Amino acid sequence: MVSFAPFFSKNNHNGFWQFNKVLFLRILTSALYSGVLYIGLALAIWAVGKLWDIHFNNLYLYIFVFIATVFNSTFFLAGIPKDFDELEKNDSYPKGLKIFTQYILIPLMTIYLVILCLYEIKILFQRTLPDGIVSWLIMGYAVFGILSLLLIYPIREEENNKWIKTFSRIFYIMLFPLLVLLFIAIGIRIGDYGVTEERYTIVAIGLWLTFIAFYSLWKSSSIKFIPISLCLFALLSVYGPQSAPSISLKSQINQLAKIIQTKNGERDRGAGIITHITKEYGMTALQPLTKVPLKPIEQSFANRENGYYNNRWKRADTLGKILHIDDYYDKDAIASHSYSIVTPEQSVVKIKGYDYMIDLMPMNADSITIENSVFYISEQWRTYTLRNRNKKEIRLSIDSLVTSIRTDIKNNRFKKINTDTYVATDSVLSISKTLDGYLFVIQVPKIIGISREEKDEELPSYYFNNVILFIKKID
Amino acid sequence: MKISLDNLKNGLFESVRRFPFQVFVSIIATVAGWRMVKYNIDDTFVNIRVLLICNLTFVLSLAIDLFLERRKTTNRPESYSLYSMHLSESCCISRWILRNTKLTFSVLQRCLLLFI
Repeated sequence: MVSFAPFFSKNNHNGFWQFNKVLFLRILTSALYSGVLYIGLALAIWAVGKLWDIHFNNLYLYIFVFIATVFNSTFFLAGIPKDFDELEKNDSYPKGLKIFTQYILIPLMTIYLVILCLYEIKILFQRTLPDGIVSWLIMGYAVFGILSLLLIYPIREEENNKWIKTFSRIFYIMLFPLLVLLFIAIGIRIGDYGVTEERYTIVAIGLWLTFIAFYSLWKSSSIKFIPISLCLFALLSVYGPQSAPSISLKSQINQLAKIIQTKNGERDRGAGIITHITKEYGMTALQPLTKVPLKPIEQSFANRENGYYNNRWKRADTLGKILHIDDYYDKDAIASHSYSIVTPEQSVVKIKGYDYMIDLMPMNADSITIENSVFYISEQWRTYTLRNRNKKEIRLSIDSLVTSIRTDIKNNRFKKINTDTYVATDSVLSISKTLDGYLFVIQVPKIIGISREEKDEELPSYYFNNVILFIKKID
Repeated sequence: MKISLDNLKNGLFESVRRFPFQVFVSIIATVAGWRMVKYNIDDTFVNIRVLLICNLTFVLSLAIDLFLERRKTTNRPESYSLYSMHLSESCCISRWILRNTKLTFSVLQRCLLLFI
């Protein structure tokens, strides 16, 4: 849209090309400047951290986000041309662009073309159906080809560049058999599994390529129609009854209805469709398949404070049960169950007997200063490390804490308050070590564990929402 | 292209003066990105949506600005109608991405609250 917005009127092809050349080069320059700036700053921060023994939690990511958004965008915006009439008069052409097109883009495109032609010959001889990956190879060929043609557009009429016109015709003519291959490959997948957003996108790009191939062979002098038609196709694909979400939802609901009807069909795929539809469109999108009102159920999930991901799985699981495909649901989930280990007071944490308390989730500081003593604190792989100025350190690992709790659960050492909740004392849910006359205690008030019966040899998965550090001065 | 601190400073001011809305959108995207780094996975869901809205709003508003600039119909930064247009366009994009009016207002409210 940005590429053609200032050039809607006719007869400004050169201005249009020059404007897009500036935007293209500006995007590359912005990426280069942003990359170099980030690498430079990251190295500087790393050096400061190493030399002064300072830990910068997430500072690299904060800087990356800032450079990638504010710096990169502002730098790009600063280079957008102002005088559009001047662009029309400008007939300069950077030699680097021709070299880039002639020696990088066109050879790349030729490689794709050779692979695709050989593959096409292979499937014709073997009488087999094309693989899904050909769609992406054809896209690659088309993208490199169109970009090449756009980049060398102003020099196509020059005496020593007559080959460009021949290349352009060959490119578009060669595109037709490849598009036939693309439509066969994607048609097979749609026939088997229905339309999804990705398959819709491939079909839409295929149609767009067919359109521009015909248009370019008919009227080769115009290049403005390429971004304009792409924009129109993109808008039509995302909004309205013919859009990707609308068509793929209808198709996936039909697929699910077929799976439910066939008693011994592809049930695993049914679970996958439910998860996808629940995630993208919500539970109510599946209302046509059941008489059970789904809106109140969805509303009750929305009111829960279990977190988005937790609720998402529960929504899919509930729908699986409503649509009677719960028994085919994720086998891994069936073989596993979750349990919680909590302190007797559950949400209340006892602080008696300690001098200081620090909330470690989120960890807001790299160091703690207590009565002129400085301790550097860091966390990696669920292990908290506390280090003093003399680099003496202690490690408090939550992994080892959970391992010992799991053993205690197996030996029935905890009281159960319901089917999947155990109660443990504060001391069981904490680990402590001393350093420089201070006792450091890490306490996890609640641990949610996942036990997999078939995968016992693996490290158990577990989650926690809160970690507290208690500190006590030892006399 | 001559590189100097003066050029960089002028470029920055020029960008802010010529495209204030787009710079504002990129700042919102930065804050959403920082929140994604800082907070846990549940909050990330909303922040990803904010980033997506910022991305689309940035491109669409830039296209509108350039179109109007070519037609010489704006006189920035006094053009309040332009800002209203950008604001309604971001509302439409948000509504479309979130598919839920209540959530749209909640996210837009969040975007504004980030600056308070």
